[in-house]
Amino acid sequence: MEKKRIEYNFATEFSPYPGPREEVIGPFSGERFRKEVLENFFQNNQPILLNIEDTKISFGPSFLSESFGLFAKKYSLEKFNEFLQVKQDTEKGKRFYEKMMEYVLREIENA
Amino acid sequence: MLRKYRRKKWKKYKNILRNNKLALGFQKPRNWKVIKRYENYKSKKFNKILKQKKQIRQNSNILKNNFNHGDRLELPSVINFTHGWDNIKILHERIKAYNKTLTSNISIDLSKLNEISINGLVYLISKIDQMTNHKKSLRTNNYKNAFKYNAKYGVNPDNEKLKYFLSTVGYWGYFGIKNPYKIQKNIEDEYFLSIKTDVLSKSCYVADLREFISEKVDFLKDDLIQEYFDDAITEAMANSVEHGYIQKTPTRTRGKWWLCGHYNKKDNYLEFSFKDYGVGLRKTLEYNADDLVRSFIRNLKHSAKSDAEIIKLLVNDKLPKYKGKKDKIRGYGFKKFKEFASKIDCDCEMKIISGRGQYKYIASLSREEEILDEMDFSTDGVLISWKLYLSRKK
Repeated sequence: MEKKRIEYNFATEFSPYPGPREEVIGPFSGERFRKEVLENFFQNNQPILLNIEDTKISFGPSFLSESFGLFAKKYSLEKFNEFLQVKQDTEKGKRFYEKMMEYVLREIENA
Repeated sequence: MLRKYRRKKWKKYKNILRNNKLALGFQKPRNWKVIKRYENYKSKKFNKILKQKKQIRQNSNILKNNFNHGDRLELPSVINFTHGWDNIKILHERIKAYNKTLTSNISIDLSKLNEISINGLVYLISKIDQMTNHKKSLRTNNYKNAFKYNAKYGVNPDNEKLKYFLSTVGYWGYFGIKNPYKIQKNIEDEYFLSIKTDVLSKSCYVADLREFISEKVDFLKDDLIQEYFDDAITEAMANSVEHGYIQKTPTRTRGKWWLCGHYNKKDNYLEFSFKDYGVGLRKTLEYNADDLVRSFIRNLKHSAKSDAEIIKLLVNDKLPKYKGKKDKIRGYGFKKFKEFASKIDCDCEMKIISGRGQYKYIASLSREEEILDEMDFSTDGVLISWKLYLSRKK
């Protein structure tokens, strides 16, 4: 049975400063987020509602492509959409979702 | 003792060898092969050092003839990429010549310097860093890591603006020099973001720069503009660390970059510059790209595309997206630099310099223009600067 979706606050639970693509380039990278957060929740069948409201800087293309893009490419867009939802009750949340999906689709198209 | 015995034996052997080519009468000790190998190695090393010293003396004389003094690097009166290439070329050539004469500690003469811009400053600091690394790599005994301020070759005492600029921007602090002189007055219309440097891409530096800007002006209040700004700086940092340094060199610290900012209240303009001293864009592309991009670059070479034209292709997203070594799609960064310059609501000039090429993008209400320029010397790494004229609304 699928678990109830939980809210994941990116700024408090990961970092208020989303980093670059890989951990060797800088801290709080997309690679680390994918491996430590997304993969973990997904393996435990735990869907999440991502809240990015408190982040101090915006998510760079490299972070989005490495974390969400590669994750969706690995498990399919359908499963990605089932597993992850973005809290879009503010303009910031809405824009983040659009930007994230842009890089997710790019990764899938280039598979 | 053993060392002394071996050296004594070797000297005796050499003496006999002088008169007698077959060294007849010389009784070889049991470990003769080891001694011979060691002594030959030592003599080779000694001769090499001797040759190097001779070369350095010769270069020093050449430099003395050109600049009247070979013991220090004299900075030109202007270091500013906005004023054309001549002043940068002078600095470039003096550093090149000075590097060849580097025998003692690094000495920099600022007495003739009248003006230095933000982009000139990050360029200069990257060059000094290279010289310091070069010095370390020579491993001479008398090398000292710390810099000292020598008033004789220091900043012109009458140039209050320059004195204020170098102190506030953290130039002296960067080299571990504390309060080298008194600043007579605060130049109230000028604000500087102290030099930031690292070997990793850390988003907190973007937040620092944004805070510096937000304290002075409100052009980043719009969330969308903020996002363009964050993306541009984040990608500049990440590009340098990830792609800029493809091989280990003794004079360059892998991944190193510099960031600096300036706001002029009187003329209401804001500028910030980003620099790395990696291998530059052309080599980075050739090294990191997959077959698709490699063939594209090869075609560029055949069609004699200049460095400036390659920068133009990158910022306009005209290079094919490529898969890196781990099969990930790369190449998002450069278009973010231009996106920021074009989307903000004031006039903006963006400059990217790499190799021999300069790409300039001007975005204003009346025009949008891309200017390409080629230099007759090559700069290392990548320099990116943005200048925003906040009063001139698009």
